[in-house]
Amino acid sequence: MLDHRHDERFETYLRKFRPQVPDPLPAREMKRASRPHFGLTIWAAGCALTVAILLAATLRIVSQRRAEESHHAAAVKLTVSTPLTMRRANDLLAAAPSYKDLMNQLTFPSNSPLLPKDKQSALAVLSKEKIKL
Amino acid sequence: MDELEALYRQHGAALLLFASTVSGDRTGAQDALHQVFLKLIENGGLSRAVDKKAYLFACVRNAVLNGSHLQRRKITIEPDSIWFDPPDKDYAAERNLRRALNALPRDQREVVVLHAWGELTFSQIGDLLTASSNTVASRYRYALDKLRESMYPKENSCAGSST
Repeated sequence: MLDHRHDERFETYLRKFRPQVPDPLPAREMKRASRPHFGLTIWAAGCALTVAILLAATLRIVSQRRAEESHHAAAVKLTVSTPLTMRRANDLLAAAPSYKDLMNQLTFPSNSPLLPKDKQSALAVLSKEKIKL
Repeated sequence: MDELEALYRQHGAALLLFASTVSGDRTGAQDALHQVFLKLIENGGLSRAVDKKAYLFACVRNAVLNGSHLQRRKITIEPDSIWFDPPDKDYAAERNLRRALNALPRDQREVVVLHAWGELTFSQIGDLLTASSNTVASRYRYALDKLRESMYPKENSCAGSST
């Protein structure tokens, strides 16, 4: 009993000696150790960014094509259906992809199936007819 | 990682002392301790360990024993390295304690450090050192007796003044 009490007193005395605190964990090594999670995050962000860029580019190309097609269709329609005035010429110039294309369209208009029969030129009708000699 | 940092703050001092008493080399002990924690951080923590504190002591012990050349029972303690913050800045008593610990056989030294400063139970120490609780308790009593013999004059005065 006395020994036990003696031991406890000695233990108490020993515990007054506090073990020295170790150096902090090296931050650089900790960063390196936790890099897999960081790498995964970077990889996921990169993938998301790539997908977003591809999507934006695709949408842009599609919308550009649609705009070009609608401009072209409008130009053709304007060319064939109504007489050319200064205002229409300005509209056509604004809508045409290039000045040269517009001039070509105006100078050499294609035959339109929409043109009524009585408004087609005689030369065009005659050129299609097979004349038997 | 936060849990490991908290464990490092909580048990780091005792773990370093234990590593130092096993290896005798303060720098090597510090390296082993860092190595253990960095490895645990890399492997995602201590989620699988049931008794985390005892597991940390076991890891540190293995790291020191695997990483060092010591298979011998006697260690040589670096004279300039200080292991403890002594009460009342009594560095002579600190040196006496270090010398007394150094004079113990390794199995007794491990037990006394794990129980007195690591605050592990005899059962936990038994699991760690693969010995029975009774054997551990017996080693502890022998170790205390030897330490008391080595430090008797100083211990007597300090212990006497505290009561």
